Amino acid sequence: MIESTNSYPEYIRTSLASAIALRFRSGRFYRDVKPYCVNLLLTYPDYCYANCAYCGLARTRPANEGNKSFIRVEWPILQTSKVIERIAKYQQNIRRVCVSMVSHPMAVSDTLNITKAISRSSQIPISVLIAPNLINEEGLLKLKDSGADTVGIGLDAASKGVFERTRGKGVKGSLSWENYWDVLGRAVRIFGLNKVSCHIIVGIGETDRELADIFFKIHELGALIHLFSFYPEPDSNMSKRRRPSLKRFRRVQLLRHLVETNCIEPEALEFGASGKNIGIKTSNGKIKEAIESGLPFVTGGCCSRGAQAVLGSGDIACNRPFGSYRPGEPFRDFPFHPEPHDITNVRKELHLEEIAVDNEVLPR
Amino acid sequence: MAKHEEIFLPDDLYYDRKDHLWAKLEGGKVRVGLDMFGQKAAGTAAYIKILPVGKTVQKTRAFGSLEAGKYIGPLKAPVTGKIVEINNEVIANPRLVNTDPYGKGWFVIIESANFDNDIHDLVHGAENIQAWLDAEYKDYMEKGLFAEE
Repeated sequence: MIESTNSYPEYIRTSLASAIALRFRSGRFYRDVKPYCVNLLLTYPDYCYANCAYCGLARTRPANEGNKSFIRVEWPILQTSKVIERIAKYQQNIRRVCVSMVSHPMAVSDTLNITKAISRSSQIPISVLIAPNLINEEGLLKLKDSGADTVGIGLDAASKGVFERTRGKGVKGSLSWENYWDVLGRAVRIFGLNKVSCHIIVGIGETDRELADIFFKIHELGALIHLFSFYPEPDSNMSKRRRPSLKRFRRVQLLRHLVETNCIEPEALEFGASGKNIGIKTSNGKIKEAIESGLPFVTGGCCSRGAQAVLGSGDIACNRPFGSYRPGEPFRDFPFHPEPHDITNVRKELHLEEIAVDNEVLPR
Repeated sequence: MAKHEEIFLPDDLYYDRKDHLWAKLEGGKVRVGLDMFGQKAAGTAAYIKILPVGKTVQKTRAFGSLEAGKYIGPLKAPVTGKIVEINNEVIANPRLVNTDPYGKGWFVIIESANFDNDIHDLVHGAENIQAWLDAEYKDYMEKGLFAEE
């Protein structure tokens, strides 16, 4: 039984982009990017009970006192009631709100109450990034009743081995790979096809083969794949780990798109002994078409209410500008539809001439 | 000193209308920094890059860049001249741009080649600065660049 007090916590974190969009913080965005999703994160004095090696909120992160970074930037702590007021005030600029749980005993009831409060005060669609270790089928149904139309699950790891090393026994964490898959399946059944997203971080120790395998598995299940490029959080267990190269991330983005748009089957992919993708067999110009569309490289995120969850349409609400890269670096994912000069750069960054691509005349 | 809400602009400085760099004449040299409009709109500064001492910069051309959490933009010279000093303290601690924009947050000192000619389009004088500040404040609020109380 999920206890509910009908009151939400007094304080909540917002992403820096959301704090600027809601005008809690002064600031602007490079290339005048507009953040379309307000990202909220539950916050507690005793933080998150999980201990994921790459995460800024990890239980054992030594620099966890005070207002430290999470996903690269500061997440300001604000009064929840004021955040809800501002969401209603600026709802014409906002396409979606996302409430992210952390692993904490109060997280489920707090998420339900915040979701209800937001849905009462505005018409904006709401996603919830759930903590599968805390929520069961009853909780998922209550989330849907409270006003959430989609849920996300931060699986993050592309394989059980990576999961165990970064989130499970390898870091004295309590999370379970099997539990995540169980809840992912239940969420798809309750919320519907393409109404559940699964987050995967690229660059935390997985191979290309593992990424491809997980993409096909998630797609077959009926969930969407939202990619993140690993960015080392200072003082986290993975603070010294190098980020994935831009070339690798671009190729993974392309691969995800080809899987989600049913352009390739598993047999179309060739891997080297180390699990590196060394070949793609496709035909009919699908790869060229995908690259020229720019869609594989748009930020993977939940869409707005009006938009259908068309796979690979690029019509997103949750665009997370500069979420996993600095504004002074090349875009890892584009929070807008890439312009022609961006696509020219993407073509170069992919270096597809280095891998075997059958039956395609590729743009250079 | 010109003031509107929490924004203030000292009267003795010269201000670039578009990019909000300030210039302060110190003998034959010009100290350069970013005014409160520029630093607030950029957000909390995270990285600053500046050309090395000895480089000559042209007025309106970049002598460096400022990067914040979600923004990066050029720092454009308000006057033409040779960079004779750079502020290593602000490179090491970019937040000084936000916390002390007219003091420790300066960027460079430029040996100006033709200061009198370069300043003709910069805003100067108490009344001019106040009028410009009032108009800019309204514009920045309308564009949503400043936080609301």
